[in-house]
Amino acid sequence: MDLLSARSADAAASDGQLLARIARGDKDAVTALYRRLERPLFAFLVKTLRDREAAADVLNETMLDVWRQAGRFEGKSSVTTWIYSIAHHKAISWLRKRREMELDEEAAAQVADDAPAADSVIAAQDLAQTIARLMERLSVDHRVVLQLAYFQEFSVGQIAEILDCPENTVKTRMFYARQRLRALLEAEGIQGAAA
Amino acid sequence: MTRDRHHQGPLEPQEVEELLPWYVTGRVSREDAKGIEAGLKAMPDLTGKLADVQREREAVARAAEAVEPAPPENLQRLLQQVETTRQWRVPRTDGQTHASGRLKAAIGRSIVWQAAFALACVAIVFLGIQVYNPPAPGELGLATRIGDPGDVTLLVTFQPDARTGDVAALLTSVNAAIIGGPKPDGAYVVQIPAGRAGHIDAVTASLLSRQDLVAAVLRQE
Repeated sequence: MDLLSARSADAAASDGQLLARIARGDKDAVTALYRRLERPLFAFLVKTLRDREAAADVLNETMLDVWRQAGRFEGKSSVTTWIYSIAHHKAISWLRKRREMELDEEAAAQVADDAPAADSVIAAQDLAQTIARLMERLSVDHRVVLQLAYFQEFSVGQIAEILDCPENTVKTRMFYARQRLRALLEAEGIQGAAA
Repeated sequence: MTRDRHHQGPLEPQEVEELLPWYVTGRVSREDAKGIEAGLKAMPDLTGKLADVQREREAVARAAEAVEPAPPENLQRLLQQVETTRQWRVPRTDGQTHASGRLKAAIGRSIVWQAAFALACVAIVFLGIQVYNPPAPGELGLATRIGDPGDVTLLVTFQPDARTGDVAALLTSVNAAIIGGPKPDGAYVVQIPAGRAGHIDAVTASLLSRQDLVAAVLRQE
């Protein structure tokens, strides 16, 4: 099989097939799975850790764990959910090492605020940017649940598996994340834009 | 996501609101989607909340899509790490060791050999019963059924290069068994029978004394 054919075969393979090949020591499958997950997983880690360099390290640590543990995957969850679960665990460990968990709210509140004046008129497209900017000021738990639901488009059940918590906890976190976002928007003089 | 089977009535306004973030991404069950749509028709103020959720989702997705990709050298670094990293093998304690596979291959498909092997197993079990003098329940824990209330579980991380047989022997020596895992961090849930629960510190110490096999032991609350 030539390189082009091999690449198209990798692209057609399911996550499960790639993981099975990784379990057999196939390094090309590691490359294929990395390329498939890199963009969304890296974005998730950047938004969770707020640190590109750390996100790149955690991305690699996650994929290295996938390499190590591929043979242990039992198929109780989807491959993607399993990998995000590893990535989330490693991201939280990284934050704990940096002692950011305890300081998260405090640190979040100190994120440089280049907000427009509260009385300025905010157009619809600016509102999206404002929401995105304010999200950076949420706690890690709230950022994670918003990312996993809105960007990664995981279901409540999948998020519960990733975070290793009950489904009701996921819904509660989402509720409080949105409530906090609303409070931040209101503090900027924007009423009724969220939640 | 599907609601509790016992709760099949119309969705409450709060339930509809809770589900809106997953409704906008199409990640609710058909049943819940119908309930949400009925709720949106019946409660017009929820329509405004749906618009809010859609705006939030758009903002979050746009911000995530704007993240620059990981540096290209990241993949090269990963592949270098892969080259020098051994893959973990599943430690099994249910008798399905590699040795059993080799034994099966050695016995082959011959009916005569299979029958002889079965007879030999029966004989070994019979002799074992004859010579085994079981202790009082709880004395050593050997007679305690795994899964009793009062069993204690530990989270045990094995060394990446630990061999299946060695792990199985170690767990047997402390009368423990793997009942779950691996967790995302690679840890296994190991059960200590109720009869040994009082000796949990000793069991933990025994496991940790084998640093060649065990990387970490955590008591599971």
